[in-house]
Amino acid sequence: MNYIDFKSPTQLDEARTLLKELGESAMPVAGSTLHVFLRDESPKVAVDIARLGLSGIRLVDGIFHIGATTTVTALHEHDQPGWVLDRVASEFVTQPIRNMATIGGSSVRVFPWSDLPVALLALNAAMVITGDEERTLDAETFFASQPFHHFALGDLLTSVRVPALTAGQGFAYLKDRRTSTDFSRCTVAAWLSLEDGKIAGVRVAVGAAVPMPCRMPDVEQALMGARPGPKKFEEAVQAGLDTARWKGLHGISDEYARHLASILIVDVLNRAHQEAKGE
Amino acid sequence: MKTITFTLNGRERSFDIEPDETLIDLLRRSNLTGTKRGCDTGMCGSCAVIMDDRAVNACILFAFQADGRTIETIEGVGDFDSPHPLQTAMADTGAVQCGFCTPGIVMTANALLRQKPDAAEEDFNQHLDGNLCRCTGYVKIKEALLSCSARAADKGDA
Repeated sequence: MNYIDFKSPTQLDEARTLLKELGESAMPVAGSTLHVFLRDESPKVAVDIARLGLSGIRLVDGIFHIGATTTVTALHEHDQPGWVLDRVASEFVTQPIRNMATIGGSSVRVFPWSDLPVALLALNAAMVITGDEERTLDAETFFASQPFHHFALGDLLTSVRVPALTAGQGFAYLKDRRTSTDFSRCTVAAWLSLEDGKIAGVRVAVGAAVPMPCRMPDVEQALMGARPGPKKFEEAVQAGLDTARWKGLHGISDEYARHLASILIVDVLNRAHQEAKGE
Repeated sequence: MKTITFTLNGRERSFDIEPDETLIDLLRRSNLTGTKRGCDTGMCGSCAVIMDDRAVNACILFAFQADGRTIETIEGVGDFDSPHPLQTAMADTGAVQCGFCTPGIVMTANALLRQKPDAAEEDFNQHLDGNLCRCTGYVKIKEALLSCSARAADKGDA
């Protein structure tokens, strides 16, 4: 990045005022792990938002409120009933990067290999943007295109809210890559809720093998109200795969990306089902 | 140029920095050349330093982000005359070949052992997933690091 100046505000209002004043030349920086992937060489002023007190995880009425500058390491180390993002954080590149990267930065600018957006879609997260007024977007709306398009001058993502998992619910996340630190070729997440042995709610999301992380509505539709099991999961996945536009990355074909996703989705559904059954 | 101040290897220091200067550039021009520049993308770990007790990649961290923080480099860990136990273990075990990755490995392992003094093999596997070594097969490195864990001391193998 071509930073020509930097600012280090310590209050949210101060940061927002700076972002408004600087306009398009402002670049909010928290972990700074993504700048190596950005090709923008226009002069920018870095606004360090890591000192605004926006980090931390609180459970309020069954919802985890996660501050936007909470690091991935903090997500990994958090331990509380109903918390599942540690399973995603453990898959997130390397330890030094986990120590620097934040949930906000990983959500606002999505890359094909981004882990958290896929999980946040499956978990039905809510993304809180603080502007002149605070507004909340559901994850599906937020990730429908590059999320920074939702932001007006002076807006900041300040919090991510994730419902805690409760009894009868399960969640799983899987990521395919060649080595532990490699870019993902396919990421999948599933959240599933059981009532009387039937699927009362299900969300399936994929990433990396598609242009932007997305839900799989046809797969979800095929599962609603059904009795879960490996065979049913396979049928639903085969019936619903064509909703997405598959795109192979890192040496795999589009067709193989589709195949890989089909296997991983069945796998996460099975794992989420096991957890929902209490196994 | 702007001035930042942070604690570097136990001493408060002020530096005049350029806005786009990375921490590794600042350290190396300050004659702290033990921190190695490898990939410049945060993937190889040879530039690992400790910021506020956590290992970070100095090649992708901007110097301004260190303002007000505590930074430790390999020079603050030990030297030839009084090496840190991790450095001694790396040498004694034969875990060093070309040595380029060694400072980053020592810093990352050091950060882990502060968080978890009884770190087990799986902890080292996870915490050192961002430290590449192109000479060894990691076996001797792991052996050296494990010998510094309190777990090893409990078993009497340290």
